[in-house]
Amino acid sequence: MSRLATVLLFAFIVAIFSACQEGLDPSAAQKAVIYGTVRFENEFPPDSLIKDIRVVAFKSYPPADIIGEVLSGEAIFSESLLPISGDTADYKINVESLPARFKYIAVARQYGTLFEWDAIGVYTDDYINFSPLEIYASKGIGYRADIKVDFNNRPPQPF
Amino acid sequence: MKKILAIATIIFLTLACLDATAKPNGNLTGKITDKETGEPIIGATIRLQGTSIGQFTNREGIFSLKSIPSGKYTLIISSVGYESQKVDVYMLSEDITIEVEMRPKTLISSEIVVTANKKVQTVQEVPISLSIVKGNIFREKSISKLDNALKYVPGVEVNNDNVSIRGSSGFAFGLGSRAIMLLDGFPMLSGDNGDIKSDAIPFPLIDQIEIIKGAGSALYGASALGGVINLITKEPTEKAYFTASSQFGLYTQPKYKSWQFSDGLQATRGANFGYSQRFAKVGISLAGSYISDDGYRFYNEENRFMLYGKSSIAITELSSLSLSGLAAVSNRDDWVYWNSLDSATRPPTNTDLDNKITASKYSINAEYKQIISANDFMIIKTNLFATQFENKLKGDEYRQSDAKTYNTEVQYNTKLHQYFNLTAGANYAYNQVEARTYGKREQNTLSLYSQIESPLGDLIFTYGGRFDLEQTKSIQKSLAGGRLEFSPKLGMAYRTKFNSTIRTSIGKGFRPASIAERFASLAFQGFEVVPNIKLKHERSVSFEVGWNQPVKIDDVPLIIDASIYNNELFNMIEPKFVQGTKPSIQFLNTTRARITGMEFNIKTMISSGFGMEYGISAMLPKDLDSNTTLKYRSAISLLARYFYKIGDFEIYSDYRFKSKPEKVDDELKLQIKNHDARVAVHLLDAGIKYKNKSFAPIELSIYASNLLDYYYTEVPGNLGRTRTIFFSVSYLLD
Repeated sequence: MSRLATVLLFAFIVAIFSACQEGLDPSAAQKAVIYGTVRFENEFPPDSLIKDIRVVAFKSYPPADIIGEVLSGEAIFSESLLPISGDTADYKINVESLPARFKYIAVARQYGTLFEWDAIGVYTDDYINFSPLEIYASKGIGYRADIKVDFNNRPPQPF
Repeated sequence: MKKILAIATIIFLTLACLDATAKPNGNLTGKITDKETGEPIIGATIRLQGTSIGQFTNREGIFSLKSIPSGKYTLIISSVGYESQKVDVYMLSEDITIEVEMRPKTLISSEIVVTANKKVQTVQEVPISLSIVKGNIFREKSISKLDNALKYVPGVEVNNDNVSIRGSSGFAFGLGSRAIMLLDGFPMLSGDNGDIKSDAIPFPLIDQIEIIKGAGSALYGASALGGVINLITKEPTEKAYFTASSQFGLYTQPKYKSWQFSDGLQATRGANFGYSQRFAKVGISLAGSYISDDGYRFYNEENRFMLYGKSSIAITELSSLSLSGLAAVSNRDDWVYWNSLDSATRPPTNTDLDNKITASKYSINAEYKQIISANDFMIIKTNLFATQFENKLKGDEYRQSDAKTYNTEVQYNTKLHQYFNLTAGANYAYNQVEARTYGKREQNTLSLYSQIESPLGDLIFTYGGRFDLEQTKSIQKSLAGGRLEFSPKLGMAYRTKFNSTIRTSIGKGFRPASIAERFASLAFQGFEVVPNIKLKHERSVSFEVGWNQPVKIDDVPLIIDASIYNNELFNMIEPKFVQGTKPSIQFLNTTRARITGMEFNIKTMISSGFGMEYGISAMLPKDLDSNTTLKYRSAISLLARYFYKIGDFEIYSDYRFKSKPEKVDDELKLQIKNHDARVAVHLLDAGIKYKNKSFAPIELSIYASNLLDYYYTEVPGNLGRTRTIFFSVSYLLD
């Protein structure tokens, strides 16, 4: 076989070896989880003002806005909690980029367009000043963060 | 429709008169033999360059072209497995007989194409980069859809249904193709979505696929913004061509438990046939297929059926008529994206698993060819391409559309002078859409084009342009005023004394927004799509310089083809996220882009039966508005192919690499979990086939797609096809 053919064949074999990498791996999506229960107190606002409710974990505090922080990768969120039956709803947020420090975890409500959200609950143990609790997420650990939403005592808006 | 028929009838009658006035006066007869064995070559293609006069050799290797007017001609002779040849002949008043010996092909060269300038030429005469995929790819790789075949073309990326030639397209949910697709020259883009229907092709009878890279609107008009894809079916010859195949494929279990969703193995199965033969003046072609695919993901099942027929009749020595029709029907699960990366083979948890998409596509085509004199011929084409789809959801999520595209074209070729070959034509296209999703709409495009080819010794200049007037409206009221586009083109191919060819071209492309992009108003797997009737045409200007050189290194013959290109794109129509109560998408003219790149291809036969091909493509796809990289484009891609024939066995393998796209739509994270999960693509396919013609005309093959079970995505939330092992049996009579 000629030198040229040998070189091309060698290049092909190198390429095949690079294909031996496995590519995507589902474990990359199972590194840490923030989960818990949201408990709702007092009367819900009318349905027309509740388009969606999600739990959102922000890396910075105070955050600028919800959609902007999500799109820039500074915030992650749960699936929608709607429809809510009873006074509680469970949530789960998968954390993929680790380690990560979340300085503000809030229950967010969409009341208008996709860009119109507000905070209706905060992960805290201080329901007077609503000082947020932090979570430092590490690989393989689940973090429980229960949150109370009192429609008669809303937290201050950080946005 | 009545208008179109009336126009076609008038032209037909005019041509019939022209036929009567033509004065043919000589016959050209010849015999084609194998140079090494002296055996006659059956089914070789004989064409008079620059005309549509042509024929196939019979069982004795003989052809006979009758009633040829006086003049100088170049015969192009080609046959599978042989090097193509050109022979100059001088027709006088008497008959001429020639004998031609053809060399068995040792290196892929001098391929014959028809797409670049709407006439028969060798690749070396074309001023623009062009790739050819041979039709046997469908059988070798157990492929039945066009998009899967195009993945093996250097410089072409396929993201789900979006075909991107040299980075022209990203991912737009299959809408608004920036490459026009043709079947034997008939347009096959849907009237509503303006997309390629990859399953509506008579794949058992495809002879070759020609892919023009770069703007092609100067000849092909709307949608040829990034390039042209033309599927050429086998022409019937006296010798029957017949193939019947049956395939069975198994998807192996994914190695990760969380991706395994069934106890057994998912399977795909199918059968197809193709037949063509010429009986005296009538040629017949038939093809059909049935595919039933469980899919490699849960809720990804598909069943498909296709039937195709074509009949061509030589009315006189100088005129012919062909009629063809195709029907393709499918019923599939409405898979859109995964639940999450850790359950990548399942749809989102709230998906209605009873929902199915039923779709059908039909086309009816007619073509009349008339040779008027030695230097003039005319082609009239008319066709209808109808598409229909609906899902089974109720309320806002119900989607349905019926679209019909009528197309009529008259093309006239004439040799005005030794240095001026004119190709000119007129085209009228009419789209009619009735859809719950898009409303009742009409789109008209009227076009005139003209191109001159000037051969000056070893130099061929090509220049021309096309006017397109496009208008879209609702049934009662005009919504968009007429928009006139002019698409010029200039090209040059130069054959040097070193047997190399240098080519360069510049051309413009444009694409009007499809009816779907303008009027879509629907809910779609959590997304809301909102209309935008103010969309303008998107445009491109392509420039390239290329070089093709046959060389010998260490006594190994090679063909090297290299090109550099620059594509400027204006007003690109892209789906964008806008304010709404749900994640809402609207199509907007947002992007000004520049794609600069190079391609480098090598083909070689190292020894008899042992060959390889390499194709490397690199590009810088820039969004000039945001000064970032364009979404869904891989900067580097590589294709490598090896084949080795040992006795009755042939082993073949393909390796495909695509670098990780730098950017995708970040907004998709609002709806698709792990939307950003993407890696570079490394795919190895390999197969072995056995054929012993002296024993039986049967071919047995085993083929593994994604042999190493590499996991990747091409668009967000969609795991690429996992390892699949195909077993196939084919009966081949050719």
